[in-house]
Amino acid sequence: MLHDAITLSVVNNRLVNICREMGIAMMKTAFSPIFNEGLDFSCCMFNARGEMISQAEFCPAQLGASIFVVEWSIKEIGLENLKPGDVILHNDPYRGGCHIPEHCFIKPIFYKDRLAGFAANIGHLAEIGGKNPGGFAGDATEIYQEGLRIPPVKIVKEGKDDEDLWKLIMSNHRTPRNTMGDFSAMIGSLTVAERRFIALLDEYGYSSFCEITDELMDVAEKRMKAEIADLPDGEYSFEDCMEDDGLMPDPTYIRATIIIDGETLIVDYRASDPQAKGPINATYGVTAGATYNAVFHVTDPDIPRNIGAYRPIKIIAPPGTVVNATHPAPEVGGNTETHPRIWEILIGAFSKAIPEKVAASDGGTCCNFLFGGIHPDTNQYYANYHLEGGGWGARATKDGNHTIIVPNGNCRNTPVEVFETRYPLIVDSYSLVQNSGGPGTNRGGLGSQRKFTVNAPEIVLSTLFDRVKVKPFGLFGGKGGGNASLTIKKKGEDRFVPFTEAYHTASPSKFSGLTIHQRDEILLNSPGGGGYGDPLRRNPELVLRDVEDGFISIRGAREDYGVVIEETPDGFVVNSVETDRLRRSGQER
Amino acid sequence: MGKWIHLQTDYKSYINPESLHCQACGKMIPKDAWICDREGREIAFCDEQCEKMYDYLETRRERQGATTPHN
Repeated sequence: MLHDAITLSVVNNRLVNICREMGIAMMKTAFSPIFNEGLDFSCCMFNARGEMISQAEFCPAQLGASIFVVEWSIKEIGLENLKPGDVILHNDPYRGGCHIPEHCFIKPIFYKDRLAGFAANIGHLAEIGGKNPGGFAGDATEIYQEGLRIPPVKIVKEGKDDEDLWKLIMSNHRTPRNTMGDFSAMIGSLTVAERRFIALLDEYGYSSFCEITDELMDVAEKRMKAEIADLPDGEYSFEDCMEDDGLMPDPTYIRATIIIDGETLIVDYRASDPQAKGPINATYGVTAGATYNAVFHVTDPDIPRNIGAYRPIKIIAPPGTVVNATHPAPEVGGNTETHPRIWEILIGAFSKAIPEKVAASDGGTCCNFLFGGIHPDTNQYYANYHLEGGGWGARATKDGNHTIIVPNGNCRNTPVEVFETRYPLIVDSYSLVQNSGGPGTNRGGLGSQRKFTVNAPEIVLSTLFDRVKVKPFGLFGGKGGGNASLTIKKKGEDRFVPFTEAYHTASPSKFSGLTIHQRDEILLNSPGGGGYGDPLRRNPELVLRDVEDGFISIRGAREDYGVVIEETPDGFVVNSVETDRLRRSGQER
Repeated sequence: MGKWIHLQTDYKSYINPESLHCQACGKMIPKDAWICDREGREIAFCDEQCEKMYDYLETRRERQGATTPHN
């Protein structure tokens, strides 16, 4: 080691803090709730070779893909063509990106007339043109319906906005004011990073700084290799599916085999299905991001998150498959829906090697719910991207968390107050869904239910989510979590019905551009997480507590857990005799 | 031994929307491809690391024969 551990740690933390500060700048200055409330963005730093040297606790899907986005941008534009004050913009899934709403801004940072590194951020734009307000056309058949595609281009040249490009983009987005605000927030956060990065170089000197960051990458690589070497050698396979693609009812299967051989870890997706017709396809960046995400979940979380931690993880994703779609396949659901499925599949495969370190399936969908149109108060376009949390899977030692955004997102939901203040959609209720946590020795987390009422003459609705037909899986005898659902009760009608019935959509949860009218009500249930271990082995006192908390019903306690609970004037009590009898009979079955 | 080739990336290259993919990992290759000869056939890789992975997997496949069942 050239530098002592304290120096390495201090520089690493300084770099991480630059990323955090970038994030705060974006959160405080962006216009869209998906940025300032949902935190659907990520910030990271790269060295002059385009290698990631730091990131912070943002969206794992974006962080994984950023490696490829930045690499592609630098290579296509060319290092020799970068000037101080330039900012590159890029959202092209077929040029290294993840999915089309994720816009990446990259700023080369110069120090004493030499290129010293890059600051980059990726954020999910809520409106980028395309077929419907908010994008996410659940029935798209090609990428051209999903929004404006931007290859790596300079949006700022030597400190001066490229006005032609700004005009081109803003004239293709429905909410250009938000585009300008969000893009400006992203560019501003790069300026914050540039300032802090240069201060760091002033302090350490360029040569010394490069040695330190090179060493940090080597440390991360060695530590990740050591973690892999600790995993039992072997091949571990698992599969699960996307239940439909929005166009056809058939599932699309993703099949992964993890090969562990000493310090080598290869994830092989060659047995996966061909790319789908509908928008559930993952690009290479998405699949790689999901793979890294899964490996990071089962290895030491304190390994510095730079390119060194990623290097030992090898991926095989054949082009033309659902895990590496090729142009012009629609792909917008890949990053929000297929990414969690890939992640879960790998966790399922790891369960065969390291059962104590994994969780059962989480809800596995972002429940993408996009709506927009002409706002009755302003007479201007509005669009909102709403994503919903689901239950997380139970672990060997704990129940799953309730209603949290999927692990690939690490985002927040939008508060009801913000929702109702800015958009003509009222949230009538928001609650946990009883019995939606997968039964197990440790119970899966619960999904949520949100009921909306339309408060405008009409809104245009698009949705793209999964797990309506196929349950999030349990592990080691644990049962699956509750399914997601989406239903509508039109004004004057007396019951909620699926959209397949009300609007004759091909899919119950993947469609676009439906007109919903004033006083129509929508019920959105997110899925629960899978259970871990045999539910008949769950401590009856924990089942009682779940009944008291309303997480499971008395009937659910009996049918899923074999625990007989009676309601008395003093509250709920476990009938131990009947419970023993029921559990014995359940075990015999 | 392989050789590096440089792919066209100017605006005219956009006429063809297809990308060159690495034969080992499947990733799209942005600009520089590592071209190697395998049994008289030219194969494109991201870099030498991917070439090594390709050879590792080929050797492993020959050693094992059948594919792995899932779940």
